[in-house]
Amino acid sequence: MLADFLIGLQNSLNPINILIMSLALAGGIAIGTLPGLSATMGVALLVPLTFGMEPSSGLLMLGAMYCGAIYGGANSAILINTPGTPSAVCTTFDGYPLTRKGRADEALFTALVSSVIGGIIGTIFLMFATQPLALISLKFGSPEYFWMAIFGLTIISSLSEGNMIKGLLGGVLGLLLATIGIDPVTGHNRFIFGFRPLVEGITVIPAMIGFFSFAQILSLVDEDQKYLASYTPNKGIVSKVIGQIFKKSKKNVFRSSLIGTFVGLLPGAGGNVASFVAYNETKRWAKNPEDFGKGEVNGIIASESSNNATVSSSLIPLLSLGIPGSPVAAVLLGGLLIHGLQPGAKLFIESGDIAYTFIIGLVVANLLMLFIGYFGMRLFAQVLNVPSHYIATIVIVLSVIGSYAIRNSLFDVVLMIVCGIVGFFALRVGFEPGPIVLGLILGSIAEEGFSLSLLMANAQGSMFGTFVARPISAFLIFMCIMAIVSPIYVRIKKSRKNKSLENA
Amino acid sequence: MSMRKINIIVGTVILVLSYFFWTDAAAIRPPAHIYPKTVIGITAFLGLTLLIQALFFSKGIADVKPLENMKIGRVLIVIISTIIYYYCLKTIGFFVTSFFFIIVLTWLLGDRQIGLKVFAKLGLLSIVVMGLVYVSFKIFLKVPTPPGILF
Repeated sequence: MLADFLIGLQNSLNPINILIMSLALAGGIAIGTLPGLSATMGVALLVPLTFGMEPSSGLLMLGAMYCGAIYGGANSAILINTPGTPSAVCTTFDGYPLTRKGRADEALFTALVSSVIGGIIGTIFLMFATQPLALISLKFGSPEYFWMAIFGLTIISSLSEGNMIKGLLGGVLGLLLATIGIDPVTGHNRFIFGFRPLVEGITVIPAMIGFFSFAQILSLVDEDQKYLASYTPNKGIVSKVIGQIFKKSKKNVFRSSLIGTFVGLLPGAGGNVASFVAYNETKRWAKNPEDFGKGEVNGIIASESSNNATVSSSLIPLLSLGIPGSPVAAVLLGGLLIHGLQPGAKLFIESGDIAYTFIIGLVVANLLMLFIGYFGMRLFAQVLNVPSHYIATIVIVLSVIGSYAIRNSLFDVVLMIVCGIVGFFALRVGFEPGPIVLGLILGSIAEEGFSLSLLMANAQGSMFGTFVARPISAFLIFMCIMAIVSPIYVRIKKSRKNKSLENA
Repeated sequence: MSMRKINIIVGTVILVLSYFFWTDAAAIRPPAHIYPKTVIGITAFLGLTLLIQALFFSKGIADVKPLENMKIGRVLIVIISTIIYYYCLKTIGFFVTSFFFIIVLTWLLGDRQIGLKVFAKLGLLSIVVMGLVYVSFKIFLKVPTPPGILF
């Protein structure tokens, strides 16, 4: 193993490989920044380019593209309130308010450093704990997925402080939208009301672009400000952000990276679920939960460190068991097979040098991202110096191409426009887009988990045994209860404390 | 319109929506009906709660008029332009339509000055943007764009 490790280190520090990774990272960041263009698309586009390369160089390029694309989503989330990828939805909650306060560069650099730390922590687990973590991921059955989705949904209570009923309504409307299309159990159409294009369901990305991007453009036009926000580069941002992350937020970045690592290794989950769970936990344990959603850097740290931690951990089932747990992992599986590498238990024995080159390369790619992302961030921040009516028009064109590109479907463009118009008016009357998109993302996981668990329960003859009496399910149920009860407990404790202070 | 009135309208719309979904869910065979019916039930319950709160407990609702001071004209310009843009790109094609869309909407949302210089500037902007979109999306990323009779 040590020999393979050293070969891996040597390969990933090879100047040619560093150049390849740098270019792939830059491309990945650009792809991630543009809404609608996904990491899967970026990695898939690069696979043919790896044909003529050494297997290790090809895999390093694919890994760097993956890292860059997941991080890139934060740039547009922070600057124009439009998440470039679904995993950057939570980054908008605090990133955009910071931009409005003239602290865009602080938000962007926080996202970058958090992404790098999350990515490295996730890769360390990939390096040293692949086998045990892969076995945990195998213990995740339908009931566990169902409870994990419910746990993710508990974040709605913390996303809807203005009006709890509207927040919950937004979440269940997202769940309801997710039920449109083909029934996962019977295969019949439902809730399409005679409109055939709805058979394919409401796709998350066009809906997300609508609710965030198009609705945001309408809000921008409504505000009629010359610029999106005032921006002048602030001095001392690097030391300020590093000080914040390593002194004040070290627990947060570590906890969120662990959440990302754990959620990422579950097939079908991914960066979006991880960032919602990490954001919720960070807010729950924070001393100032009321500041979240108004420009709290810890919100960005939680979201970005967790979603980038999923990059490496999502490869754990692939590399150790040969099971692609995410769409990107499926594309990478293709990349591995093209080079004659068979993922699974034998990968580390038969092609240990290449496997370790890939894993160590992910650490190197994350470190390179710190430099490339820093220069990119300076460039992207210039968007704020462009008059807002130019931005509005260009973002609409990019939203159209982004929505269309997912399935080559004009219906998705219509969906984006409708969600945008609904999202704009909903925002005006107190419905935040976050809970709706959260419901839409988690809806399919929750329903599939519930329906399959129900079938299991019928076969086993025990609802309790299937849904509750499983160790991971019981733990997740406990976490759900904690997530609901603890904010209420904290609120009561705070009001009692305030009352006693008033009486004194 | 006050927030109370808006909540009454929203609550009613949610209840009507829940009714249509519930009616459609009647055709779903058991046990597949449990999950969607539960979601519809919760939606209806929350819609009803919002309605009851607005009708009988309006003191808790903030006294704001969220749709007032809205620049509805500008918002409608964007919505209508985007709808026209969608229909045009379906028939004409993405690149030609987007080129004109950028010029027209940027002009409509800007100062609306008329002059050769203004339109030349907007035309140049549109050429640069669409050129970048073409190179990055069509040539490099090979992302498909909505086809039409022109480009």
